[in-house]
Amino acid sequence: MGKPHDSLIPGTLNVLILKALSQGALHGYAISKWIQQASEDVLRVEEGVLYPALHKLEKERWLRAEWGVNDTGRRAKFYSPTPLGKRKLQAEVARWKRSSQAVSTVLDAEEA
Amino acid sequence: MRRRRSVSLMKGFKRLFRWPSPDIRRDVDDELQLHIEMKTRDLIDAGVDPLAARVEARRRFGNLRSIRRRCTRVQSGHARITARREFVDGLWQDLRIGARTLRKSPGFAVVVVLTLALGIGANASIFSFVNAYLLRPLPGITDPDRLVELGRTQEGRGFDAFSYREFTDYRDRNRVFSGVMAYRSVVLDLGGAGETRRVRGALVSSNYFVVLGTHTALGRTFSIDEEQPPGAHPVAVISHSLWQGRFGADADILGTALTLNGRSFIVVGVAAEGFRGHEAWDTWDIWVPLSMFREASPEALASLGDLFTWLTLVGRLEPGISLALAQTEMNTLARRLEQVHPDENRGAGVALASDITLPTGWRTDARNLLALLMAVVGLVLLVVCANLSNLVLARTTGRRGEIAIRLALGAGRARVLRPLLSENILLALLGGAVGLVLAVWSADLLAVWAFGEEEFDRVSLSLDGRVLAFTLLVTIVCGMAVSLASALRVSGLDIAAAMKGRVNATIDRSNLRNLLVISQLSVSLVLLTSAGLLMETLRTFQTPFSVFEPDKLLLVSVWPSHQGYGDTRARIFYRLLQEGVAGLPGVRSVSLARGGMPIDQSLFGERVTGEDREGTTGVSWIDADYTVVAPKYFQTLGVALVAGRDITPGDREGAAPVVIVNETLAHRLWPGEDPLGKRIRISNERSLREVVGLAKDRPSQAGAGAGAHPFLYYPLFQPHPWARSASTLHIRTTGNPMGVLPAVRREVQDLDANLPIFEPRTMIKEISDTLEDQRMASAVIGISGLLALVLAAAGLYGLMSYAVSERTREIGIRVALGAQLSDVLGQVVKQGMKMALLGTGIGLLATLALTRVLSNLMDGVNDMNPAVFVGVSLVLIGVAFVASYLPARRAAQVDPMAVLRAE
Repeated sequence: MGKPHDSLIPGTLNVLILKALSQGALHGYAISKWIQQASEDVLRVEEGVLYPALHKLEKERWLRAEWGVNDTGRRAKFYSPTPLGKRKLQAEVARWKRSSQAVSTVLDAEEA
Repeated sequence: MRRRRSVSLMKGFKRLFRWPSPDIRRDVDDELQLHIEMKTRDLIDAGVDPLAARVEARRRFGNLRSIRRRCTRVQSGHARITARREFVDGLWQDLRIGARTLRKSPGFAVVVVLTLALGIGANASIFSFVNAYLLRPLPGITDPDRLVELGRTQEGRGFDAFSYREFTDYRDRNRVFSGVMAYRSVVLDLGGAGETRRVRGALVSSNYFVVLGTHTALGRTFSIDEEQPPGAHPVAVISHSLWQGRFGADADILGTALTLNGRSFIVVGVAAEGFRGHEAWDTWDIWVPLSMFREASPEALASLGDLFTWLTLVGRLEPGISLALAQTEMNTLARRLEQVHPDENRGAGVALASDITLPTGWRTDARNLLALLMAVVGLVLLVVCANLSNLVLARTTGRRGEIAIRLALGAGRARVLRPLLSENILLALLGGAVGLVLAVWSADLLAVWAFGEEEFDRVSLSLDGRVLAFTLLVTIVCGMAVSLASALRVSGLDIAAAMKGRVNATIDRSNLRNLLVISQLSVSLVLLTSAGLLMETLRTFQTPFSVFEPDKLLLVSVWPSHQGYGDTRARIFYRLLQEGVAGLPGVRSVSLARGGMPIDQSLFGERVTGEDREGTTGVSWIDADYTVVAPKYFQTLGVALVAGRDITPGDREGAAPVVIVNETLAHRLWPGEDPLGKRIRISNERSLREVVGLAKDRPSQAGAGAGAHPFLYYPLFQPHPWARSASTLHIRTTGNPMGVLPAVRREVQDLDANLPIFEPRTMIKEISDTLEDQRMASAVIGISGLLALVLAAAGLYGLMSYAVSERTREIGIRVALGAQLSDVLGQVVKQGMKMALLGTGIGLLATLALTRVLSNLMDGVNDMNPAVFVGVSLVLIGVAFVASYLPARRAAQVDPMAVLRAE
């Protein structure tokens, strides 16, 4: 099955979902697939975590949900970010970059 | 249409509650199922065997049920929040739109708000009385529901006071009450710093506070030792407010002396804050033990034996004992006591009443009066709602073009109605707020007017949660009632016709509007005739007080017994006072009597019989009421005796005992015979009294329709237990009665500088004051009736104006075709009068039905009083005529050319 999958770092799922949706509306399966592909198969989103998270984001009004039809003609629920969600994404990305950089700096530091 | 609405309604309900709707569950299932299917497909594409792919996809998904449950829960919460947000947003939006439209027609808004304020205010005002008297629990009393009042019955009738001996019997022998206490309210002269003040209080048994379940803020209540013997325990408990006010919350109040009726009493306790006795009708400030009856209530015929019945009894039911069970037990007990004390207790029984907060004699009257007033203001509210419905209806009709367009464009009827309804709710809320202000103001006004400034603080009409809740309820009901008409109108709107803009007036002049106006006219007729009947009753009731020129008869009360006067000293005082006042300038004649009211009634009765009726088989007594009068009583009143003579100065101590009887007593004792010269035996007097005068019957009660009652007049200057008690000077003056008051005051002061005089008033005021219940009722009903009439007239005027404006074109054409102005005028007025006559007819029928109720509520209301019926009907028809004539005249002035050109 190729490379081993890493589970997500806690707190990153929301920002990944928002990132996945920044290009347009997707349904749940497409979101999980996009994250897997974009991370080059490193990250795998558990279904047991993905759907409750999607619904929670919808309730918090970060996401808007619409029912549409997928490529096989099946009824599917498509998610897209609300303006609030988009703002959150920017903020989260900036925060994430800052902290991950800081963590890398610390980890890369030469031992004195 | 109907089905769809009900389905969406169900959906709305479900969304409001927690139960996840089938829709949410299906959505979640679809979403998750899709995921599994797409995963399966991807696996198949990657070369996995279809069956294995399905199993693998399902396995990777994990615990499907738990995920589904979590998603469903989140979704349900989301749906609920969304529904709530939509509802609030919609409401807020509607209210904003409503406010904006109303700002565009401020005249309409002001009229509606004020009209509503009158209707709601009247209801809130009367309700605050109902609240104060009937609903609000009295402060400081524990479990008032378990308290019952005991009333003494004789041969199963009456609800009277008990003697002290009976009190102790019932207190000690019953097994259904955890305690039975006795009390009697008194008015005391509170002396001390500066002037003497009258305070209200009560003589109470030692367990009074215990039975009521109230405690003291300071000190103690009374002990059982302080109930006996008479006069030995001058101690008092004062109210918290008296302590705060008069004594400046003095922490050392206990043990200090208080001057009550000229006697010194030691303060032993301060009652709990807020506790002012247990009668909603009265507030007390001082409590003293029963043993002090002579000092606290010198005028009362009281004793700690079995001679006088003067005590009101209140018991607290044992837990688990019902009123019915208690009644049975008390009946048994009464029968046992009858055997123990056959002399005093023959035929005596006990009746129980569960509401102790209203005085016995007033309980039913108060309930009836308040029920009547509530019904009256309810009717006013009905008129207000009918009136406003018409107004709002006209407005809705005016907007029917706009509404029709919105309906035609596919807006739901509910969506079109909502802003209209929220506009009405907004108006109702404003009206309710203004009404509340009106209510507070008018309730105080009514209380001052009905009870007088002096007694005003006897009842607190403050707003509390109950009044506010009632007002809000009335407000909402009003808003909905007013909206109903609009809702009906929109529902029944013919879109196609309305779109054409010109609606045939005959179709639109709906029966609904006519009906509303007719109902207003009927209700105002009912109210006005009821008020008329009541006022007529009051008038006919005042007539039997055939006192000559009651406005020139001054009444002044003196209470020498409160200053410790004994019988002899009081008699001398009264004699000197009468002589002194008689000599004053401006005084034509002067006398004294126990009370001022010229009625054949007294608090306590006497048992009398004729000398010649005393046979060997025992005495048959007659219960008679009595008063005690000074010489020239009848002359001063200006009332002629039927036969015999007035009391004279010669009827004094040592002279032969005499008495004057009324016609009823004379008839009962000696039917068909001349009573003069006959001799009467009084049950508690040794010697017989000779009848020297026969007086006309007077009403036996300070209420309408009271029948005659046997009555006696004793001479003041012959020994009698009442002699030293309070007496009322009757002064017939030549000019302004109040003009002689300073001289009278000086005269009293010359005799005794410490003796205050009380309540100077004219006889006419005395009479009208005792009719305060009826006066208040007739005033409230009268004002309500006038209000209703004004509203109804405005409603009719509006309707006729509207009808005329709708028919301007038609009228113009008819005038152009040569119709006479009088024809046009006549036609419009005829339409108005038709409604007025219909309203009057319905109103008369309703009044005939209702006066039966009215005469039950108010004694003596004559339900067949043609003068009132005819008079009020004429007034109503007259007002209706004016209300329809004015628009008709406008119609007649229509310029036919202008109308035709406007087309």
